[in-house]
Amino acid sequence: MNRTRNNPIADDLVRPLFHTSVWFYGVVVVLASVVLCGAAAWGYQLWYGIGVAGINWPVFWGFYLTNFVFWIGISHAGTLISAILRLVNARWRRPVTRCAEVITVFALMIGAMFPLIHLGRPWLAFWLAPYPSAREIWPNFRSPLVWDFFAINTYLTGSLLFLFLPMIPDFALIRDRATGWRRRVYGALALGWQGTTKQWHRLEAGMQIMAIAIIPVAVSVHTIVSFDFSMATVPMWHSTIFGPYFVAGAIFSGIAALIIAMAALRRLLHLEKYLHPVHFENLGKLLLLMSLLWAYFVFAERLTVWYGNEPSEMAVFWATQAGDFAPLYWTMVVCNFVIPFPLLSLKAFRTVTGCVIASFAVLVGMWLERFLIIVPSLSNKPLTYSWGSYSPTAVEITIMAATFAAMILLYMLFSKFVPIISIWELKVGNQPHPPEPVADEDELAGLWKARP
Amino acid sequence: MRAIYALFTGPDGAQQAVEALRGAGVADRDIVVMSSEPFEEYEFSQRDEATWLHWIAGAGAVAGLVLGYFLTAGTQQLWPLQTSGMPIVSTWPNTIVVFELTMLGAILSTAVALLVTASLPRRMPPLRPRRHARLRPRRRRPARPGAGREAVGRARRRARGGGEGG
Repeated sequence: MNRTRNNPIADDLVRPLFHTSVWFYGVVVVLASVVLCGAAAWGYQLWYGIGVAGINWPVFWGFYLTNFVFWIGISHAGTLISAILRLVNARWRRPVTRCAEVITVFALMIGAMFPLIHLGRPWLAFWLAPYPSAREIWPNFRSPLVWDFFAINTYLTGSLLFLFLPMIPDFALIRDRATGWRRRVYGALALGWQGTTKQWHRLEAGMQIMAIAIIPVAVSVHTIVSFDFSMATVPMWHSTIFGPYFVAGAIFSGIAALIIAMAALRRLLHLEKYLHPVHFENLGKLLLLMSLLWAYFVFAERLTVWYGNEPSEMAVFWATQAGDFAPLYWTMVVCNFVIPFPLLSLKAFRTVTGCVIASFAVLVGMWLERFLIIVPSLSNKPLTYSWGSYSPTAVEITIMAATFAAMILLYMLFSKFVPIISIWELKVGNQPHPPEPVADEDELAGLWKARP
Repeated sequence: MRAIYALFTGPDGAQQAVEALRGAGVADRDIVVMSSEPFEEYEFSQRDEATWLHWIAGAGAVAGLVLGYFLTAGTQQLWPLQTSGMPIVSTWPNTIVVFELTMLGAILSTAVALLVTASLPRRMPPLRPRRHARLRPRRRRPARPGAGREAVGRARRRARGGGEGG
């Protein structure tokens, strides 16, 4: 049963799946070339060893770990935001949720690759998996790296299911419209969905439970990523504030990524009818809130360090405030606070363009923040003999560029195979209310009398 | 099994049909409403709401918790390894792994229970191709000269009661 014979929502959202323009192929070729360059750079590193990267004593964590933290942070855009909006039943969430959930899945996949690249010998990565080796040695569960393994895999599994399950009714809809190989593929993905009332109830109940379960997992993931740092007695890492500070930063960068993705989809797939300025305005308000929260955390962290006046921490503090890293630090402050604050707090600027400019600034700022957490602390260890510097090599820069290209490429390909906006959820949002039963005259008279 | 299928352009018509079927004595369990979107505010959509999904998710979480505990504490005792002065069975760091496996148990059990109780995956007969096959005009043999006259003659003979029986 369809509410209307001609369904404009389904028509609009399914159209990009069946019609592909020439520019799409052109962009795919360009992005795929960048990804291949990154793969070649990784191959070069595998062949010649990790020495071709810029990481060296005492800075053993550089671009790779910066990107790992950055991408795991970006992954907070999707499932967490979608789950919160689903739980509070925000009506404006409907066109936003799938755009967001896709970011989570791809960003997690890309982020999880960086520890493997950083390992240098990725064929030994299976040592992290919980299995008894020939000598019955299990992984050391006290190691934060093993916590990462469990947290990221749990979040990735949950996010994949959270993305896939609500797609089943849309796959069924496309199956009924498609022909040829598309019909077979979408038919398989639809799992034989019929849309009975029982199936709808199970889907909605299941999504509610998964939304409840996925929120603490999302929070735990970035808290555990922060533990990679705060469990070490490195200056300015060993801090109790790191868990919430990382989670706030992750949500901050995640919302920024979501706004940019939505604006691009809106323009390229002509979804202006579904992604309204009000969606950007609401997300812009959330971004403003996270910008203020980020500034609060930075101030709290910096003030505590400055007041404590611990020499080893002050070395890192001054390196970022006025030393070699100061230009990057103040660029970060400008990008994360000075630009977004006026753009998002003044209603006149909180337009689609304003939100997109603020989001680009936030992404740059948050990447710099990850870099500034890692490198200055490792460059200024407690004893001065272990001070050093770090500069990335072409291999690291190429791999990093390739991951950004991979993210855009995966997102584009996904939007060509799956409706990027949940069709059935959007249709539910447009449903008319059923006619109210008409009360008889006696009942109406009784109601009138009951009034004071 | 006999069935009556009806197609409605809107939920109001479906609601009236469900009520009419009930009025005619058809049991609720024999009425199936399929739609491309959920119609939560209509009465026909209120059936089949009761579900054990929450309890199954809880059971999955408990299973994950038990597995997480035995995976961490059990293996630490299997191979006692002193790390940074921490006890062999270190409850604080183990809690992280136990938590993740608890949530993973809840998520996986919810997804599996959702699919099983919604009878998914299932083989759904392809409706369109068969319908199209039925509607497709039969291939005709090329006509033989005089075949039409012969057929008319056969029909006349059959009508008179005699004929060749073909």
